[in-house]
Amino acid sequence: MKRLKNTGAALDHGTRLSFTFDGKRYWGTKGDTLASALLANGVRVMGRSFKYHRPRGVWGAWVDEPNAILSVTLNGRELPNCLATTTYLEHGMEARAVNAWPSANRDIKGVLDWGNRFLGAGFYYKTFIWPDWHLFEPSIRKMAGLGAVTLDHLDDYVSDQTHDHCDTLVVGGGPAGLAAARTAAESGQNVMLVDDQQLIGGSAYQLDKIDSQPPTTWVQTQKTAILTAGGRILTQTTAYGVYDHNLVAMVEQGPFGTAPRLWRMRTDRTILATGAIDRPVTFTNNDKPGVISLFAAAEYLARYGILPGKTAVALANSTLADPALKTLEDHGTKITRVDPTTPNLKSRGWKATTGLATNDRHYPGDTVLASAGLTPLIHLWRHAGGKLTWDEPRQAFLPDGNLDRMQAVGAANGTFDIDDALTEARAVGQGARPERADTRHTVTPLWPTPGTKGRQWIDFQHDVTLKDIEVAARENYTSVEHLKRYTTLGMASDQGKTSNMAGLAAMATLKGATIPEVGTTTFRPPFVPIPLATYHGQASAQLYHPIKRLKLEQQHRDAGAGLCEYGGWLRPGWYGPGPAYPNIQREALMARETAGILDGSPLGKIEVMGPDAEAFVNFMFYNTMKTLKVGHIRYGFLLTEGGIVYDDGVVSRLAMDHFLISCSSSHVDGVRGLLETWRQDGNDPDRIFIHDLTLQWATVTVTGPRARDILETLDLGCDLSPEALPFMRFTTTRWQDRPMRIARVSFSGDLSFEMSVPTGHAPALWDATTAAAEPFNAAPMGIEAMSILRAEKGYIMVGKDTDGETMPHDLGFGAPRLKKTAAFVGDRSLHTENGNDPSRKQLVGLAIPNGEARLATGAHIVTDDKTPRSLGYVTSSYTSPGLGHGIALGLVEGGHARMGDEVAIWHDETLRRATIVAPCVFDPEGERLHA
Amino acid sequence: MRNDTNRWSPPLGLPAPFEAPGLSLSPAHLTRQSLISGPDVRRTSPAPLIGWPDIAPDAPYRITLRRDRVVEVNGAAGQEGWNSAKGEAFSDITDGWSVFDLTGPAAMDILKRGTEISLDTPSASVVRRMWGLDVWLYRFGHEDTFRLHIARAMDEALIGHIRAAAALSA
Repeated sequence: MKRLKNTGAALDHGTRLSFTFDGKRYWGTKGDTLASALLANGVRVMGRSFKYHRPRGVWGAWVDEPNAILSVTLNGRELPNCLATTTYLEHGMEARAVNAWPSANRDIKGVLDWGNRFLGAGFYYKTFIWPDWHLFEPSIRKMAGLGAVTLDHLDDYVSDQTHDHCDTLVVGGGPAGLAAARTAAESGQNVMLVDDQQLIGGSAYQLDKIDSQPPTTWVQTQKTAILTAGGRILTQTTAYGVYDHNLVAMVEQGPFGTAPRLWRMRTDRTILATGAIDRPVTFTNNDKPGVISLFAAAEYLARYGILPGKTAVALANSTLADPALKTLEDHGTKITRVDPTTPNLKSRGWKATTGLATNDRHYPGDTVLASAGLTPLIHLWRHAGGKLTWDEPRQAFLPDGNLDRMQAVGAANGTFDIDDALTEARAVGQGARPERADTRHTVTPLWPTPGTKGRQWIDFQHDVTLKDIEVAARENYTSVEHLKRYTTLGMASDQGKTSNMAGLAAMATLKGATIPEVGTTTFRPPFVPIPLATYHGQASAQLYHPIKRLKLEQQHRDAGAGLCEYGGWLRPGWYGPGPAYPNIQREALMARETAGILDGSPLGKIEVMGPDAEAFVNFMFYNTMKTLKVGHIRYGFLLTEGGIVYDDGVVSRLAMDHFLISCSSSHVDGVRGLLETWRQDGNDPDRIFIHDLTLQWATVTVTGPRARDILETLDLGCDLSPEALPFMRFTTTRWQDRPMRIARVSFSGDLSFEMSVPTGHAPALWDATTAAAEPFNAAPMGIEAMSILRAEKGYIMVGKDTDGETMPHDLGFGAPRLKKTAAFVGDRSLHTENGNDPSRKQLVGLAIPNGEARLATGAHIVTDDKTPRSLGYVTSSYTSPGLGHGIALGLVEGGHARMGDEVAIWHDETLRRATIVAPCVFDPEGERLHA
Repeated sequence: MRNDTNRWSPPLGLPAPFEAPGLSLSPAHLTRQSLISGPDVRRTSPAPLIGWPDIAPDAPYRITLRRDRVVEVNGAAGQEGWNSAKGEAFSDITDGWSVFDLTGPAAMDILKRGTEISLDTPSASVVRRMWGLDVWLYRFGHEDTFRLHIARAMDEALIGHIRAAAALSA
């Protein structure tokens, strides 16, 4: 193995680069991959196999490589599982073989290979089933896997993501791709050509001439023509998946250690010029370092000037191999061709092959050049839903027919001859459908022979042998999908690029079926491994799932709020330093004694307008709304069609044709969608319009016995007396020359006013209100205190005190179900057998003996017998500072009929007692509410 | 409930324009944004109707959200509610939506990082989903000035995404 002087199309011979592999220093050339640089330095063993830790060298020259997997460090940045054949050499790189210690050449776990007869397919399933797999799992998992992720976090390893569009995307910059892209661009199409290597040209450099030109000249000519015609060329970019509506996902690699860029490319059509890869020949010890793909060897020579060996034995089943072999011979490799169908072929040597042996002969050589035929890379074709057809002359699966927006050309379409490929590609570039010409080459079927002796590798990367396939067949895992999962064939990071065909061919022989009858496994993106960072891009940390921010957030922070996430909003849970609990208790008590001020801005403010608004709102709500008078407010439920409580809230009538729905803060988006859905389905959408104005109006709620006193100091310009503005009434005014809406509604059960102003004016209102509250010993309070207050009153929180089965009559609101005559959403479902079931879970209060700690939320109410059964659970539980004891709400089977019953509560191995009571334990007569 | 105060940085807003190579993001201070819905709402005003990639003038104009919904920018004040004479629902949304102008030769490339967009693909509607956020997007005044309206509660996220995209594309 040596580097030829001034040879190699990809190399900049003037630039030498230093690097290390397993601690030893080497030199490479700019343009090298790590694999080519190691080969140039005579390194054969670049890794160890997954299971048996056998020494492995390179098989391929690009993405099909299964063996040479390295951890690479550069400038303190370490990336695991870098393919040596696709990682470009940079000065100062430190590479280590994965799955080997202390080095690939001398791996201490190499002894595992001696126990190979015990480690075949199914070994783990059968051996470690007793007494318990979980006993063995940790140590097995520790031994398994390739590579290790460093604990260092690369903060700037963030993928750029972009969207783009082109008329024609050409995937693959080999001769066919270049020809197709050129004709497409010159015919006026917006063309993008992507190729995954730094140097476009694909296999062109293996050829003597293309169109009578040297390959380098020809490639440059095509490139210039494409760019001149307005086309774009992206190198180091892999199209790795095709998704719905012609979306092609592509990753563009940058310098080592940087995250790749994701391109979401929408195309009118895609031309696949992805080429083909070589198939390994299956024979004994075919995994030895030095056994290399024939076409990979030709590529190493063409791109990197590396002659794979001095003396080689060639196993090839196709006349396609002849030019490559001749080229290698012309450059100095002495080659002996051996019939690859010769029985009992065996590679000699341990850490590197020393040649091939048959039953009666030995063919010495430092290299075995193997090729069992070409497999077109049709992964993207399958992602797009294309079918495959088995082509007997070519011994390969090929694209079957045409897709509307995707065509395959060149080797990807089975057109291996260069002249035919160029003709086909040029025609397709101009818009023609590809017409596959008969192949001019002969390919002798060459597949694994089950029943033969020796360890013959099918899947190099996952250490799956022909024997493993035979075991799977014996145990009836004969479907390719079962075969894959039982043996792990094709499940490694190379996704079976070199192994799947051999595996399914072996299974075909074992089943007595043909290869197309056995079929392939499913092709799924990504075609090559993609860092997870590519998928999330910049959407991480605070941009991963952005939270809704209050206009008053800075005021809350300044007031020492503990900000928590409630329904997608960042809201004050409480105010004050130190632990949350005492602050929450203080605030709840304050609200009962004087008043609390709550930022209620996220409360839904969805307006329904139009001539049919009344009928629509009446239809949407469980409660009758058509009788609601202007200026009045009514509580109500929105139900699903199944009669389940979707949300609750209050409806204000602003005008005869204008309603304001104030729904739960966390349900605004859902309620808006629900309303829009029904508006457009079953109603006249030209007579009903829905405006979500939640963000337009900010709301400051003042609740407590001194609430009116506080508001009266704000000079609101309206009469706030109970006579002028009683409970569940609404008025408008102007404050500081801005409109203000005031609603007398209450979620605390106490005297409350909700003041709403345009959001930009919220800071002024908040500051004025908190200042006005101070003389009354009132202050801001958070959501947690409000949650206590509403639970004291027995007011529910939908989603907390209801579940996916709760109907409104379960909550004590049964009248509309029985009396409302107009149709409404969910009506029919309330009268089903399920809706009438007396054992439905119903909302109740739960009283505990004085002095006991509050119940745990989620604790189960259980039957009090030898085999306890859950009757329901605690939905809300708090310590009420005003009442001085714990309070709780719960959903209990037939709860309304159990008032006064003592029940058992089970939680955390502890059984407690509680009494079922009415949910409301504060101001049951409503005197404070109506004050 | 978990205290998340320190998990989220205080909202910074955009007190001064954000500048990056070929790019400037600045708040647009509009006089008024009015949400108007009605069956004929796209035909009832002399104000120019803006879709994508139209360039809005420095005068009152209307952007189309959907076939029966527009937002009038810098138009006249109106009466909130249903206008039976016009057959329109009218709401002031000036305080509910933040507006930014993204300008410069790199602006389009930044937008492409957040959404699938092309000047060659027109749309009557200006509604877009960008980085997962609902925005209204069109051009304003110049070919390389893009105006974005976003729900006020999410404007911090949009600013953050544009900053991040500018950093990544630099």
